Amino acid sequence: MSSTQLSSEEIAEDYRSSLEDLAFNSRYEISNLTVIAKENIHAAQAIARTIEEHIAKTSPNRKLPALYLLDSVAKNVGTPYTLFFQRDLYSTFMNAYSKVEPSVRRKLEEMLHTWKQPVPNSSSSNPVFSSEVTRKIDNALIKARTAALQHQQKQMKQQSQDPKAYNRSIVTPPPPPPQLHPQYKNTPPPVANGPSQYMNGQGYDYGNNGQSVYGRNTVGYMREYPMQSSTHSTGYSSVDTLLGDISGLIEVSQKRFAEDPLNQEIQKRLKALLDLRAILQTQQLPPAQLALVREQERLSANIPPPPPPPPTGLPPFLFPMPGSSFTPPPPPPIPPQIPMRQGKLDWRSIDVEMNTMSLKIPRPHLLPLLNEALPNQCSSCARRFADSEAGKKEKASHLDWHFRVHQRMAESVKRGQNRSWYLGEEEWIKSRDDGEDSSSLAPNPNSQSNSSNNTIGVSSSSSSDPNSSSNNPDPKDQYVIISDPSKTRAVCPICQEELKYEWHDESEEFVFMDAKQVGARIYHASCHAEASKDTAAGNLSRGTTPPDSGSGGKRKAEGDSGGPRVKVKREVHI
Amino acid sequence: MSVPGLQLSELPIGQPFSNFTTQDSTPVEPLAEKTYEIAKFREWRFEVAFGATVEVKLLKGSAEIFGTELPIGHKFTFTGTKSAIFTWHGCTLEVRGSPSVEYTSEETPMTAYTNLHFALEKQRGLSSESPTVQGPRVMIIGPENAGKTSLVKILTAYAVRQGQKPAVVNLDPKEGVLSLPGTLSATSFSTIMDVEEGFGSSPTSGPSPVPVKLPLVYYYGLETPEGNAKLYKALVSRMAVAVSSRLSEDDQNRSSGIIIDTPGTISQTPAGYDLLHHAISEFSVTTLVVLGSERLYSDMLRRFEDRPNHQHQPPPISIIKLSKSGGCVDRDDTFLRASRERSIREYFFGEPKKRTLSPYTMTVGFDDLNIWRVGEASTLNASLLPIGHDDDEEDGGGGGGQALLVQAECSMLFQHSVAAVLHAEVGDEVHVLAESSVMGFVYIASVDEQKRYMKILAPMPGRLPPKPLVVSSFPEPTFSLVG
Repeated sequence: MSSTQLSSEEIAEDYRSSLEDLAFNSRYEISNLTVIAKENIHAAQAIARTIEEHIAKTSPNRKLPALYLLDSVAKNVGTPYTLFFQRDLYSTFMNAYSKVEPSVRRKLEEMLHTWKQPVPNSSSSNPVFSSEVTRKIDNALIKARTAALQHQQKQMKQQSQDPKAYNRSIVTPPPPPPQLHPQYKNTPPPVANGPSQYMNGQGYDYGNNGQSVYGRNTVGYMREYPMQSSTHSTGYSSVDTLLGDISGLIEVSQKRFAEDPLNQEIQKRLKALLDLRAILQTQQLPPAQLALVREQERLSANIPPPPPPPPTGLPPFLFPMPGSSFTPPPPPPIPPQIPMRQGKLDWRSIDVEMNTMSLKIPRPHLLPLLNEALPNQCSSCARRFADSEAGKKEKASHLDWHFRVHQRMAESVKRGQNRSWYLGEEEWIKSRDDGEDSSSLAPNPNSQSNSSNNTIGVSSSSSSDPNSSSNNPDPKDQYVIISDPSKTRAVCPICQEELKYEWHDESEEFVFMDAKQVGARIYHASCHAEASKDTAAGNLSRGTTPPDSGSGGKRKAEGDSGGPRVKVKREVHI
Repeated sequence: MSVPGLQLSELPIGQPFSNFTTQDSTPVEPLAEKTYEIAKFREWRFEVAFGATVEVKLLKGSAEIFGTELPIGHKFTFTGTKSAIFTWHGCTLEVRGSPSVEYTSEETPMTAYTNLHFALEKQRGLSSESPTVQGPRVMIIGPENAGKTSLVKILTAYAVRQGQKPAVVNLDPKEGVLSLPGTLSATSFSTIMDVEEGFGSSPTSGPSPVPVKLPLVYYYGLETPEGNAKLYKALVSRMAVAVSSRLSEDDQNRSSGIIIDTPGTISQTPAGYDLLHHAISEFSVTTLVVLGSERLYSDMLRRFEDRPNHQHQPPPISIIKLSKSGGCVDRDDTFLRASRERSIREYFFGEPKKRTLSPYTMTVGFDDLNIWRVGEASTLNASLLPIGHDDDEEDGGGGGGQALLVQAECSMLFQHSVAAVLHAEVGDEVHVLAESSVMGFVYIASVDEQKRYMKILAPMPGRLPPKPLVVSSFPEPTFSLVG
């Protein structure tokens, strides 16, 4: 495509028609157009002009890709394009800036920022565009911001007064037509003297008015400056806006970072932004600090400090109005990103996004979540339980389990144990590993009728008669014959431990020793005897922990001692 | 990671560190007792050689090992391990014994790891509110020794700590989870992990001080997934079905989702990428975490980033890049081998001093056995093909490729190997056998070709269930099991 024969005009014409197709941010097209610009470097002036013209006249939603192209050409091809662009960069940029939506503005600011840096991976340390030009743009942006703030503050003072007074207070020479207010999306009805559905970037015909204002008086365009666009009257919105802005910047940085992960600069910057956001989200900053944060944000965006404040000399911008509070506004259009809640932390407070950048931000405010979901901790194994009635019950049975295991550990040394077979697929899918302690420690004597859902395949026909075996004085000698040799795994529903599986010489069968079958369930005969004894004695209701004569006192003490310790821990977290 | 397998290193014993307060330093004693103050957000990393033991007790504060909290005052005994104790709030540890390596580090990737957990927790929360929303399915990939298994442990422990019930899937045959090396497994975790043992223990007939976990185990029998890609894929698919069924049966499992560990080798070759892709789609992975490899990350981005655009059926995958922990240490073959041997020993004999198991030796005639071998690409295969076996066996390959399983004749070659006992029936077709889950393992202690019988070690007494057995080359034969 390097046809040096073509005249600059022809090339420019070709280029113009290609530009028409640049409807969205397509990496492919942009790099393609960049390559063309590079190959036709002899026609650089014409191409640069074509791009500038295109940026100026294309619809607002196509301005960003066009500017990206400018950016790409400037960075990848460099001179002479940079020189040509530089001449009118201010107006090209500001013109576009004034016409696009706030989200796009953030992208533009981001781009502007990169223009102050050297081209990544290039040997030259000069910025993409000379600092004179970029500073000029910066200054204009800052002026706009400051003035917009003043405007806003005045507006707040006169809020609820008649709109005319409000208009008069503005420094703008031409009184802004009502359509100029729509950016105050959050504006409640009293001030909403413009159609509130305006903010869609379409028909945003600020055009000539804004253009003529540039350089002389920025107020016109500044009112649409994104930072202010949703900043309304309360400090709360300031935080919100700030967060929005920062998120915007983060988004852009992330994108850039993804494109160029080796760029230290972007990395550093991103980190700073993420940290900043984390701070904002975790803490409710007093106004003064907030202003500092704002300052920091500006720094991180590499916008030079604001020029001397405009004549009126208002207090530092972004100070919330006296009396304004940080309490959330009634129905904010954007849900507040403040995870600091009065109530309990839960997963809804989690502000982590599933992306690499978001995962890098320290979130100390979320850490308590790890422990507070289940605050009640077992002191002997650190297992956690809910801080509720059910949780307490669960913990009590858990402590029972500890006690039993402890007892059985001592016994089992004598008996010898074996590794059990693993579950088959079907059993595994159906198994409910409720862990060590089942919720129903006390067996219901009536469970015979409703216990058919047991997965153990012991057919009752082949088992020894449970009635006769239960007459056996020593539960240890009771056994249940196993019909299906592959189903050798059975768990006692009381203690949740495996029944001992062995060869029984007398009956010449495989049996579960110390076992008793009740309905389809097989219990440890000793557990069952103990449980039924307890049930009979205490007349326990279903689901209650059976009192364990030997351990009752001990468990009680353990449970109590668990309380204060947990409390102490929680204090540490906060 | 807590992968056992470290030899005694030459490092000085009980070397004090600047940020430790050494209260009782008597390094001459075999079990020197020291107290360490670990500042918050720091990690005390330690390695214990095989044969040595180190006891650690949390005196005050809070501390966790790969996400699992340590209770105050409980003595943990470590041997043949390398591990790390992290503290969010600072803690005091009492350490008895001499770790071969020990130091505290203030640089840990815990922030990112914890945030990953929180991001998953958010998805679990959303899933718990709507029965149609699936819980997160996260897969960890990365090169070997990048800390994948440690991250899996941390994510699992944190989930359990918040009352979740995630399914942990191990696709790395090199290290077993709750089972032997050479296996793939899936386990639903709802109880605390055994920090001394890594993940914990599978059930035994006796009590266990730390609740046992119930794994669903499949035998693959080779060290790398590429060894028999066909079998590996078949097992992954089968397991994905089982795990999905489990998730659909149990609502808590559903919303808690799946955490998947993968082998390091899978992320390094085109063949591996293919297997990875297969596993990702079989398990409907929603989040892919790339640990410690920029290149792998960008490869994955390229592979999966644009997916939702041209095909709307698979949900988009979030691809996350996390850095490797500075605490990751390479484990050489000797270490890994020792740890494999240990896990075989522990399967049959239990953990010393903690849970002694009694396996049973029995004699089985060749004719009572139905033995299969995992199809390998190697030439060894030919020599192991059945000679004059009378069953009308199918080679299982089904067409040109590598066989899934090959029926085998009992031979001396099996001596000292471990054989998997399948949850299947003799006479099942080869593809059924290949995808069957494992009931357990037997160890082939000796083979007498003349008298046509072998001595085996079975985990429990009684007749060996009349099930098909599978032998393979991994884990390698162990000689020291039965003395």
